[in-house]
Amino acid sequence: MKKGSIALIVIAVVVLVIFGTGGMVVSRYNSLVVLDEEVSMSLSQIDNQLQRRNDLIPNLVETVKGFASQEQEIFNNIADARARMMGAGTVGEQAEADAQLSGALSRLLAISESYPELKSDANFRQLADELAGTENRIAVARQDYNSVARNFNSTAKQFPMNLFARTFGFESAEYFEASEGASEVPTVDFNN
Amino acid sequence: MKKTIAALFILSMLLSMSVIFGQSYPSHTTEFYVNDFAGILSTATEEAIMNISVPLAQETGAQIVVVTVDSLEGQDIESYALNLFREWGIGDATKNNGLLLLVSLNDRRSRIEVGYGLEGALNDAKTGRIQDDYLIGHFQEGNYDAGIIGTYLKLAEEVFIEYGLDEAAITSQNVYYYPSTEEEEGNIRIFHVILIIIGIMLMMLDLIFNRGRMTRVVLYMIVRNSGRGGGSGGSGFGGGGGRSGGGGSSRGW
Repeated sequence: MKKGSIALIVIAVVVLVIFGTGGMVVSRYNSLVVLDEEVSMSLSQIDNQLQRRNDLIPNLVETVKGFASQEQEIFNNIADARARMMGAGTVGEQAEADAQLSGALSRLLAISESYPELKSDANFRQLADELAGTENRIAVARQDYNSVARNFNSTAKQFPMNLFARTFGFESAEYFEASEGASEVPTVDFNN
Repeated sequence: MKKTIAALFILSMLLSMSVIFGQSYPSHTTEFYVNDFAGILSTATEEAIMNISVPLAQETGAQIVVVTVDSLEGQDIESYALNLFREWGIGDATKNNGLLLLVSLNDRRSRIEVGYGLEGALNDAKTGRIQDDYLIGHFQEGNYDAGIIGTYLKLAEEVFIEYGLDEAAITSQNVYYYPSTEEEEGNIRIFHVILIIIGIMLMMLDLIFNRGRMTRVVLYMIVRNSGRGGGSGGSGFGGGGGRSGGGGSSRGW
């Protein structure tokens, strides 16, 4: 009698543990699916804004060229960064190209300080506002994406999901972060 | 030994608390649509804002909120506006049709932050031009009240048009159109100096020939007007849970 009941208790505990873990895995799996969906949604938000900026650039460059056609170096930098953006495959590459393009564009806006006519041009002011707004939206979308990605990654790393995440095909989300100095473009110093 | 550990523990608690609270934002007033933390708005302006924002929100869910602060606590105005916008949940939760006009006096920065749902009616360029036309000029002369009500009315007009409401009453109220173009600035300054000189001459004439009676009356009127009545209605409005994606534009003056 005694031996039988001990065996029963052991079996019950084992079954409970298996079901408990199983249940946890299932609920974690479901929450990971939701988070994964959020990650790709946030990433597409960034893509939207990057696209929007890409569409703005030709107009802006044309307008600036009308007043400051000699600033060829800046135009070249923008064209380079834009091409790099188009060719970016991973999130990390995208982040690097984005930082470079942001840097080049901020220099384009900054030269308006040396061209009063450009600065007071209504069309330029409008485009500059649109660009500044889009840059800000990219920054916001990037923050939102990174926080969702962090959430996803930490959930995927918690027990017991860490044992299964790879089996279920969840790869950890890559952060949208550029390395230090990515926005710097090699520049020629004309003062020397 | 135990004491040192306890002291270290308390210290680290305090530090982490200061980190957490360092990023906090003011909570909104019970009026919600008017939050004059810098104390620069007249009662008339506050009433005008409430008279438009409250029925607009009831009808459409769109919330137009005005916030003035002394300082941005070292943050840039873009992130301050975004975080405040999201924390207060300005605009309807599904339509995201909130609008925030934020002004920081010490930083001399202003920003119009637009919720997703109103980005069609108010794109970045438009919000920039509205600040150029209705805000900067007044602010450069220290006339914050006029700059804010003018900008507010222009924003309200755009939102009314977006929702097909009759905007005529708002448009006729807005007499604050004052574009700031850089050429005019010099002339305005000179004009002001001349006005001040004339005023001082009149005051001296008044003091000499009239024992300063007029001066006293004018001073009395200025002092009386500057005392501002606070009194909140206790109606208690709140945000609808709207979000912004960072749309809008910023200006300095």
